[in-house]
Order: sequence, then C-alpha cells, then structure tokens
Amino acid sequence: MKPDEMLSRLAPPRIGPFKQDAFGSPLHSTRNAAWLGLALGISFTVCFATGLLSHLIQHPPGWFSWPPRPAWLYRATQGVHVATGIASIPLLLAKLWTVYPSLWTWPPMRGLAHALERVSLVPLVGGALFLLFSGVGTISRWFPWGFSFPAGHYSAAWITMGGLVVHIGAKIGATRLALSRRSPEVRPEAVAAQAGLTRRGFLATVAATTTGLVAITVGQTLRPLASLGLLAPRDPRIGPQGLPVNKTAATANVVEAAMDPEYRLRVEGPENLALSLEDLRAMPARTAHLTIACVEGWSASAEWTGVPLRDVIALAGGGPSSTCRVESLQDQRRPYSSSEVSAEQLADADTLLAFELNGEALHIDHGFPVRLIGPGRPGVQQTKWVSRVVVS
Amino acid sequence: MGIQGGGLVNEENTSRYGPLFWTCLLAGWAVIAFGLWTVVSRPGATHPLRFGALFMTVLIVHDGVIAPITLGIGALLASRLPATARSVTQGAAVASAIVVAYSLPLFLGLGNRPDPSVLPRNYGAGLAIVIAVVWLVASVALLRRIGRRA
Repeated sequence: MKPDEMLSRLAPPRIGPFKQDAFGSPLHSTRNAAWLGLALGISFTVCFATGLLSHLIQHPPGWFSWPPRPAWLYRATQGVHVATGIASIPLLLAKLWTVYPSLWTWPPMRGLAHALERVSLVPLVGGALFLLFSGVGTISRWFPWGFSFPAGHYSAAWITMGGLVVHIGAKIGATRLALSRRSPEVRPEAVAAQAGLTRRGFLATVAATTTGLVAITVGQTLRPLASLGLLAPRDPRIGPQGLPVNKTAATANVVEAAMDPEYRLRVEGPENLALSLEDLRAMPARTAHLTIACVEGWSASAEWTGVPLRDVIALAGGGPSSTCRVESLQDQRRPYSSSEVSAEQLADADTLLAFELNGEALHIDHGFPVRLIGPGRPGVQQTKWVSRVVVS
Repeated sequence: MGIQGGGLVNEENTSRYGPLFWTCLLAGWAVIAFGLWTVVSRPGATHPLRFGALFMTVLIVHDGVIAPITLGIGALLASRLPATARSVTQGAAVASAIVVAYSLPLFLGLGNRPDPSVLPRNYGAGLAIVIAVVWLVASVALLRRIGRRA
C-alpha cells in the first residue's frame, strides 16, 4: 500500500480543527478564495516589479541604467510599491482566513503532487507574511530582526514569488472556474444557517478596508492627501525647512565636520580641486524643482539651488562621458554614505551640488554645507554632506 | 462542488496536477532556490539564521495563534449577536482588526525617532479617529437596517 493510501485510510482525528464542523462559516468559500487570490496575485506582482526596479536602480548591473527623466518616475514606482504593500495587508489576512480550513485538510497529503504543492505553501505564506511584516516595520522605523532590511526583503521577495508561481500552477483552473460560474456561490442551506456577512459582504468589507488603509497612508507621497494621512508614517510637510529627513546629521555623526569653517569639497579627476562653500557659491548657480523620493514610500518636493555637478566635473577636467562617485562626510564604511552618478544623470543640468533649499541655506539635516540632488534618483542616492567627488 | 465555485475550501482539493502544475512547480522552485541562494550567499547582510527565524516565526504565529483567535472571535460574534446586527458588526470588526494590526508599531511607538519628521503624527489619536469612523458607518448602516424592518 502506498503511503498516501495508508494516510487516507486513517480516520481523521475528530478533535479541534479536524472536527467535521470545525469551520462552519460559508465565507470559507472557494469563490472568495479565488477573488482574494486574484487581487493578491496582482498586488504582489506589482509590488515585486516595483521593488525589483528599486533594487536595480540602487545596485545597477552592467546592462541597466536608470534615466534621470521623467523625474517623477521613481517617486511614482516607489509610492506604488509601498501603497500596494499596504493594500496587500487586508487582502493577505482575508485570503489566509478564507483558506485556513485547508491547512487542516485530511489526509494531509493525497500523493506526491499534493505533497509538493503543500510544501510549496511554506515559501509562499511564510514569505508573504515576512514581506508585509518587515515592510510595515521598516516604514514604521521598527526593525526587530537583526539583519539588513533591504537584503532580507529582497531575498524573501524571490522566495515568495517562487511559491506564488507554484500556487498559480496548481490553482489557476479552480480560480477560473470559481470566478466564471454564475451559479449560486454558497449552498442555500449554509446561507440560511448564517445570518451574518454574506460572501459579497465579506469581499466588500475587505475591499473597503484595503481602499481605506491606502487612503489614510498614501498622503505621505501624494501631497493633496497629506491631511488625510492619519496613519501615514510620514507627512511630506513636516521636517526642517518643511521637508522630512531620513538621517539626521547627529545620527550620521557629521555635525562637527559639516560645521567646520575649514570645510573643503575635494574633487578628484584629471585635476584635483579643493573648493570652499564660497567658491561654489561664486560659480553660476541654478535652481530646480526636485523631489526627495524615499525608498520607504514618502516623497516631498522643494526648490533646490546649487551648482550643476557637471560644471564642477568639467572644472576638474572631466568630460561628457565622465561618471563619478559622490561621498559624504560620513564614515565611508556605513551604508548609503556615497552614491554613483551615471553619465546620463551627470549630463542633466538639474543634477546639482545644492547649497540652498527654498531660498535658504541648507539645514544641516538636509546636508549642509553641500548635498547632491538630481532628478529621478532614490532618496538614498541623494548624498548629503558631500565631502569628495571622484571623477572616472 | 468545491471545484464549481460553489463550495467551501475544505470540501475537496481544488488543485489540478497537469503539465501546467509540474512546469510551474519546477519554475517556482528554481525561483525559490535563487531566493535562498541570495540569503546564504550574503550572510553578512541577511544573517541566515535570523532570516530563517523571522520567516518561521511569522508563519507559526499567524497560523498557530492569530488565525485561530480570529476564527474564535468570529464564531463567538456569529453565535452571540442578534441576527440584525450580525453582518454589520462582523464587517466593522474585520476592518478594525486589520487597521489595528497595520498600525501596531505606529501607535505603540516602537519605531525609533531620531528627529521630529520621523513618525510625526499622534498615531493613537489617528487610530482612534479611524476606528470611530468605521463604527460610525457601521452604526448608520445598522440603524438604516432596523428602520427598514420597522
């Protein structure tokens, strides 16, 4: 006798979740599972694609280059990443609730395929919960896990999406059928026994909660909705000079070096330069409307004034094909203490070494004396407290 | 019945194990293997043991604690509430529980705040407003329902 036959001959234990009527609610319906699965499949795919894009922008392989224009693009994709992640919370919890009885299915495996399918739910469900937990933790600035968030979140995303591919392979037929049928979704006797939420009522509740949760958080990047952002981790209007900050000068341990009157910006290229803030201010300046778009999903725009980085590069003997690395005053072993600027980004006149924000000298938490800011770059690449530019 | 879109998820196995399943199984596990490789190949960043610990913790806490408690509360509400109030209360409870779950680290103030632009709002008050709105909407819906019946 095959092991699965032996298992199916075993009488199911008639206790707890194995009891015949352990899950009486008609809301544990295949059709509900199909609708929620479809919504979740879409939200996770969008979230994965936008997250992967953000990863590529921050760690570009040779074949990838992120253009500075359109300047709003990263703000949009990363805003969508965090918003779809938040939207996935009600969807995932509702979906797991709906299919929870299947966890206690008897026999636990009906053959090799069923066993492999069920094992593949571990990366899917564990990964999905991991991604949403770590994502919410991070935007709430709470990191109770002891590993690098971007690295862990990235790995978990691949594991989850692999699990999703297996799950789609097993369930696509059932999902199609469940969604195409116009027949009564729930057995009449079950409906009669239950005067509570209907199947549609449950889906409507989940849809309303999803929409509501996005509405009260998305104001951190959609400024017109900022006042509605009751549970948004950021407010794009709040911060020094009316702009949020992710890393303060004190946290970065640069206060003393940034305030040093002997501060010089060193530019290393065919020629080496050491420029004081006054030297930079004496150069032809440019003002541009640019956005800080944080990987955490908030964004805020302002008027930045400074010297186009390409002009400084030219002064050091660089040309139109030059690229450069911009380093901050921070300890260079710290993450996000420097950033690379591509030739395409350098060619854009709005890629600035800025020293003014909204017409005032930069606040130290925004990168005084000089910061890098350019169109379309993730916030972590808008390096603050610039001390050195290495041209290559 | 389950496969016809009318049944409950535990009535039968709705999975189909044709060529599509086996193709997706192979492709999916190739992707999972890549994900696992990105964990073990960067131990300094991912700390594989801590990564694995969080992975299994969220899974076990959800399936072993949160889901059974939610189901228990749901069953209690369904059996104790008068029929008229049942669906509205269940809907409001679902919405409230999800909003609370999302905002736990915010209103408990678990995040660190190096400057006032980080977590700048009063999240306790924000949560209270959101929950109040949910139950206000639920109350209006219930009153309308009672009005219709009367």
